[in-house]
Amino acid sequence: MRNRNTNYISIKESRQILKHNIRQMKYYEALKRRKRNVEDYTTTMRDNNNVVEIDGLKTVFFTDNGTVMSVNGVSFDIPKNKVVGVVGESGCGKSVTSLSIMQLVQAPQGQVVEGQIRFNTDDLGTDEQGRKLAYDIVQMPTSEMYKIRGKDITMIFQEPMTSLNPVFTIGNQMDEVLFVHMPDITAEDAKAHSIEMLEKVGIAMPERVYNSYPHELSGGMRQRVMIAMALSGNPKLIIADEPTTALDVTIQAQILELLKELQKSQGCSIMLITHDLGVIAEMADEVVVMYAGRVIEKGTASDIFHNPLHPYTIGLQKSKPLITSPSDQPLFSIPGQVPNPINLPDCCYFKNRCNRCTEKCNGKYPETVKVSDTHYVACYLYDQEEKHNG
Amino acid sequence: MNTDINNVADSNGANNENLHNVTELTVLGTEAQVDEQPLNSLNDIVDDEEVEELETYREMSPMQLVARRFFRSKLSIVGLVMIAFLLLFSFLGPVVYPRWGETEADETPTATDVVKIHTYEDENGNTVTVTEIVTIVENLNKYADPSIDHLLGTDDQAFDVFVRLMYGGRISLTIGFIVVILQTLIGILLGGLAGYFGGWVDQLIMRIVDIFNCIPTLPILLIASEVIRSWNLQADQQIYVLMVVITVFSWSGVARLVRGQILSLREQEYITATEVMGLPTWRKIFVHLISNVMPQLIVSMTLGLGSVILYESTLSYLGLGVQLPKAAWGTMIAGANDRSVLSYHMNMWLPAGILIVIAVLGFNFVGDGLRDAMDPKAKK
Amino acid sequence: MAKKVKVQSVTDSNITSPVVFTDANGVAVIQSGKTRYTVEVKGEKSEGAEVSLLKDGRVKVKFSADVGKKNHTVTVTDGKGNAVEDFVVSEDILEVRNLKKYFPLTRSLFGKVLSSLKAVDDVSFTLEEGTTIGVVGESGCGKTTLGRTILKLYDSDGGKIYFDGDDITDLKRSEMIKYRTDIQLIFQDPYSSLPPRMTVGNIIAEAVRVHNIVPKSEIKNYVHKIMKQCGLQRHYYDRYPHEFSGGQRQRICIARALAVKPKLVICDEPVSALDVSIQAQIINLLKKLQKTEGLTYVFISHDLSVVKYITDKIMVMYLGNVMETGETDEIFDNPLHPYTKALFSAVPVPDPDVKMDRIILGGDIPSPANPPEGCKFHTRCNQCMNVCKFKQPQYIEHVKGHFVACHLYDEEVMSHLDRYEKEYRELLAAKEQEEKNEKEK
Repeated sequence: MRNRNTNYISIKESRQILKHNIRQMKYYEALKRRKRNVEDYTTTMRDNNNVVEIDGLKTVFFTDNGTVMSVNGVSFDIPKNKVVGVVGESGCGKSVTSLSIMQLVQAPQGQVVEGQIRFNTDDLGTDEQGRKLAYDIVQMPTSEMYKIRGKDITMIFQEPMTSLNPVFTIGNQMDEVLFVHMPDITAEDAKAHSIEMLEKVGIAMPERVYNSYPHELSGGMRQRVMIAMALSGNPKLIIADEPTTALDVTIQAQILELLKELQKSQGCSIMLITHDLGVIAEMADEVVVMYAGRVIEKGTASDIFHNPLHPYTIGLQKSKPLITSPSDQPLFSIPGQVPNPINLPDCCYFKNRCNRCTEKCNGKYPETVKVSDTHYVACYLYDQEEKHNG
Repeated sequence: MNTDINNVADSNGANNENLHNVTELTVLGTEAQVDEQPLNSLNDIVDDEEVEELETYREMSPMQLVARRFFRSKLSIVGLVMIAFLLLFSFLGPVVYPRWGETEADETPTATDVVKIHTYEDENGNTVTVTEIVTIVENLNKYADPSIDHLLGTDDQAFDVFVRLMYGGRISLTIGFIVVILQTLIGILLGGLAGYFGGWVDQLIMRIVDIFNCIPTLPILLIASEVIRSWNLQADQQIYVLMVVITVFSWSGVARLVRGQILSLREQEYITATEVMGLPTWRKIFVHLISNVMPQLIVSMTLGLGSVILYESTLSYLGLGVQLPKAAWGTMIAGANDRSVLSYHMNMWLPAGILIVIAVLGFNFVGDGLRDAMDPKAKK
Repeated sequence: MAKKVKVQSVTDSNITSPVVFTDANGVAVIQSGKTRYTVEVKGEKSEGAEVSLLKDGRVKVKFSADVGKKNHTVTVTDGKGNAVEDFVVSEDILEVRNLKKYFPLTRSLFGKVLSSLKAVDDVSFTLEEGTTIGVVGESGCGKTTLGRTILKLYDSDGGKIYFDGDDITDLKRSEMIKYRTDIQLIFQDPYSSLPPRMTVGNIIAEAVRVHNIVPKSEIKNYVHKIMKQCGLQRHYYDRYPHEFSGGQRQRICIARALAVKPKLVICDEPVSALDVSIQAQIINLLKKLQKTEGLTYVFISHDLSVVKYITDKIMVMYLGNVMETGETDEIFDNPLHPYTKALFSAVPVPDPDVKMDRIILGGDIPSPANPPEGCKFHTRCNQCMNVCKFKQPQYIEHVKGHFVACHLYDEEVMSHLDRYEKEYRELLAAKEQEEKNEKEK
């Protein structure tokens, strides 16, 4: 009996957690409400060629079971005109990262507690060193965020079924986006623009689709509409959160093809979040691998796929059967389960599932090691090599 | 090798195929030998999987989760306090305060002095004031005002109002509990059958439910009560009949709820799994389906308690329910029919009214709290 | 459990070795090299047995699913009349013949079905015990319905299902109880397929208790054994499903199915809802259980790489029809149907340098409620001919064991294309005429 009860929080602990949560949530909500001027949320870009720079982002959720470190010190850049793939398993924080960029983290339980998200904007000009001034989305008030969200940064969701409002026509919903971001636009112009966008995403009869309701369209069509909506504000960054997971393979192939084409023709960046390595390989120029709220490896697509370093990245690639892989040998599999990021100890989170775990891994969480100009990994195996070389 | 085969196979096209098969056999043969080694490693890998999990946190037990969500709302705590107060008051009250019985009239003779002052002028022109004191001696202490003896006074029968409130609470709450349990049982049975079997069973039961829903309850009850009164039952028996009558008119809502829930649960894959497992039908309905309707049922029972108490009070007020000398809150309020009681003896009916309000509000608050707490879709 | 080896059964007497023929008494004689085996099958319907020789020289006797092995005895003697002990008796544990499942869409006032959704339309396959068949297709192709019709969760609207020697097509619910433990189902969604208010131990033990699989006193030990087999730790016994992650829950599902000692397990997308690293664990577990328990799987999936890995045979479905079936390796090496080809090429390859020549199918999957005429795939086919638009293709056995339903491989059609072209034009003209008439009216 005792053994069983240890899985559950005692009443005392639960009360402590509750108290802590309330205090923390109040604190962060108060921070959000305070008045801020433009200077308060202006910073400079590290590199003018990046659309978004995420630096040490920490997003937590205050739950009844404890504080969930959904995103725990994530840093990566999204360069202009590039597709950045974020890959990881469920619960690794990839979606929360994207929601943090959009300031859509469910408050008050969810709070961005640390870090910067620098958004490269043309509104502010440059500083004296020629670096561009940027908005820090973390510090930005929500009222200001409305100007960016849906226009400069847009999002495509996984479920095309639920992300469109069933009681309005497609045209209605598309025009609405335009009215919000371009107050001067006339109804006719909006309609013309929407139909043009629908045409762009390869919809054969845009006028008809414009006047139809979401339930009249198939899943693939709805996802095309979502893409058209995302593109209509001429965004700098599209966040695509598992855009093809709910679709069939042949439809997925269509949508990926379309996304690739549009990204090239529109000249925007895409942050592609997915768990499918195949999709990443197809689409991404740069890849970020996340595990339990941390970036464990990042690099160009060829770094990650041809020279994966972190045991998790290697395992992930090996455990996916290929059409070419022999079927008489057991699949490589990573043992164990993904940890739930509550109260994780300060050590490598992958330690207990790793097949190359060493003595050193019992220490602190490994630092990110720079392997090449583009390739970074957070693992002790490479830390050592670095020291030997240096 | 290739040429050999061609030489042999020149006569018939079909031979080619067969030979192809033969060569395939040999190829497969070598594969099968290689097979041995990975087999072992396959076992190795699976055994490996008993890796200790990185369990760095602990969860809330299911009950704890419900409790946490329940107590998050202030109103449900208020409701809980209200109900606790009522339960203690009605069931423990008479034990703690045994001074008067439920039907024990205060027989202390009371002398009421009625003072009349007559003023008239005599023939001398002097004003003469005559005070006439009529002492009415009664052997029952009726209509007493609140005092130490009678905390809330007495009523027209010289019964102690405070004590009768406690006894009335006992009856009201007991009737409430029993009726709710009865209607839930009937609702589960009929709703469960309708939801599980569907088809004509469903049609039949749901049409019965519809019929019960469209009967105008109050007129029927009025007629029923006249009939019951003509049977000249004892007060106790009348209470039982009352319970049955309320149950008959209130089970249909529960049946509808259970059916709706079961219909949506049947879409769940774990119910399909019970079919695949070949479990007997009763087990599927009563173990798997009903246990998952339970949260909603508990909520509906709690909310139902409030309305049953209200129902019972209404009936008693109309003189159909619990009859004198038994105490019930509704009957006590009925005393206010008398205009003098309504205006001069508030102590006789107001406390009962307040208690009804407390009971109904309390159960509703708790019911709402439970609904939020047990809703699986609610956020953690 | 005998080891299963892929062997083409040989029934052609033209070639020299090995040979099977049946002598006058209905006794099969098979010769391999010098040894000649006499195989005698005793039972009600022994003529259904198929005799062949394994590559290791042993004799294999296989019964079809409508005959079944359980009511037969097999004796094998060599040329000198000595009894041979070492032979394999196998059966097709499942055979589905022309199975149909239509869901009514609209009914007339009196309940007569006016139009219906043909979820499964004329599907046939056989499945040998200890092997796996993969059912592949996109959403709406009827693969899930097929699985559930085999399980008799739905009543079929035509065709036959034979399981382990018995016809189970028209069994009533009460008669089906006997087979319930033999055929099990593993679901796609590990979250909704476990009852939320039961502990893991109870979930696994429930059916064991109901069907008296093991004596009451041993149930707990038995459940622990099953849990260990499925990679679940002992102390999970008293926990509730919601405390586990998707992978663990899928293990619980597998344990629940395994506990009743099934022969056939229908896996309905068992890994699609799981993370990649967990997928591999579950696939390995399923494979291991197949080897140790001799399970037979019907593996329904849309993930081709997983199907390739786990199956022996594949059936590609599209809008309720089978497009192509055959041995897994054969289909992957040599896909014939344009749909199969497109499906294969649509799978993203996790290698950024491999830029495949994608066959990207245009358009959407038509609604199964209103499928196109002729070949159901013709609206999206990149090799569509006019004949495809009105004539439904036949199943052609292109290579032995490799069936395809496509006009491209039908010699009869391909050699008379002109005729069909003419027919199509006539049809088209007739249709136009009809439309005109209607307009005039």
